[in-house]
Amino acid sequence: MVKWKHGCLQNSYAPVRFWSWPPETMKTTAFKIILVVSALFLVLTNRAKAQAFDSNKAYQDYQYSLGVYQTSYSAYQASKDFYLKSPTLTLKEDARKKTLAMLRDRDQLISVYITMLRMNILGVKGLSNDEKNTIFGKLDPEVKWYQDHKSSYQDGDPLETLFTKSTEAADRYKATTQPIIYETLFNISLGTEVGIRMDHEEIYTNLKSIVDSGVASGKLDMNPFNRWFSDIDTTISQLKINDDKAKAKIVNVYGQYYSIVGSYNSGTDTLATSLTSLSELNRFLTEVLTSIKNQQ
Amino acid sequence: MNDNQQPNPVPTPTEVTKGNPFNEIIAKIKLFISPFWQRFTQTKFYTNKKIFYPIAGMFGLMFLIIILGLLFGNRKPMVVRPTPTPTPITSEVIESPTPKGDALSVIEQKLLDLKSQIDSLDIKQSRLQPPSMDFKISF
Repeated sequence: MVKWKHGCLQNSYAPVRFWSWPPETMKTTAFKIILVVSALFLVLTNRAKAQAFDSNKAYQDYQYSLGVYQTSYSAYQASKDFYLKSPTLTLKEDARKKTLAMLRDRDQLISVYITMLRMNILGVKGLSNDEKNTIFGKLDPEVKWYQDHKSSYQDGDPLETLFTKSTEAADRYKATTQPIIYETLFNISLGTEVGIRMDHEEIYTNLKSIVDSGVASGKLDMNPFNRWFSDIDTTISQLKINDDKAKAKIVNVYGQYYSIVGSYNSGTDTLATSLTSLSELNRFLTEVLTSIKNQQ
Repeated sequence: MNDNQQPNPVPTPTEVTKGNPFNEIIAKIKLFISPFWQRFTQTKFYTNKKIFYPIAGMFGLMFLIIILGLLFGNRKPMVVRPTPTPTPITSEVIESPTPKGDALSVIEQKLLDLKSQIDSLDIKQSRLQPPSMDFKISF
């Protein structure tokens, strides 16, 4: 007698079956297919989730959080006005709840905003990995702080406690977060400008090699390229000097004697003059290109 | 066949799975789910094949569509808030008889693209400025 483990009794001449149909080999094959497809499904869904978050998605999240905060702030304002006009216990409780919701949304908004800045830094070409990691080292603790602070709000917190916790966030934002935000914004602009300059330098290197090979083969005359290259080198040097000047100004966001926004504007104003030099560099390289074509 | 000979017994799951680790895993999974499967096969839903097969086939098709969608679907991000775009610049393709013509055309196009980037670069990052928030919360 062949006794199936789960009590399905069969005689030795009858095949032991797990299902009545289809045959055993087909069932095993189907089972394998189901396992593979399920594993594939799990992997693909995880991949899809991982691929979705970029700077655009981060910006969408920020816009959504901003809308949520603005809505809860309006509700807070309205409840506060109602309570101040008619200070009843019921209105006070309503104002407390609305204040709590608004403060949580405010911490969430700051956290999401800083994350968005982080994603923008990630995509900037003209910053080295070390520079990016330095910036991340400042941004990431801020995100964590506001997320932890948001968790510190309890549903039963009285108004006075909410005001105290709000002041904690306000002090943190003013003393620590805001300078980091403006430095990050400056670095996004600086990195973008440096990236554009580096692309021009790459084109410049290519044009110089084309001119060198053209001169060597006798198709091109070195005049006036040698003088033009000197002017282009000067322009590139000026761009680099200007970047350093701007970097020296942005550090004042952490200083005591300058306002944060004022230091940011001073740094970005210096950086803005690089746009003129970049346009000039672009024109010079276009002239070199045209001259190569005309001589060939 | 000799009457005294007994037909070869159907191999048990343990015999089938020897030497193949994947089959061993499948056998173990089968042993685990067999009591649940036994109970399920006794339900009215399973015994009525006219209902069971179409519904099982439908769920299988949905699963397959999801898999295909994930494999071949459009992964582009959703439509985002419009951002300032660079002024479109038409590029002129200048024909050159020289072998370097293609390289020069590529460089020319790159310079045009970079000019567009310079013109559209917002140094002040107005789009990314911090949100306006009220930190004076008290009453």
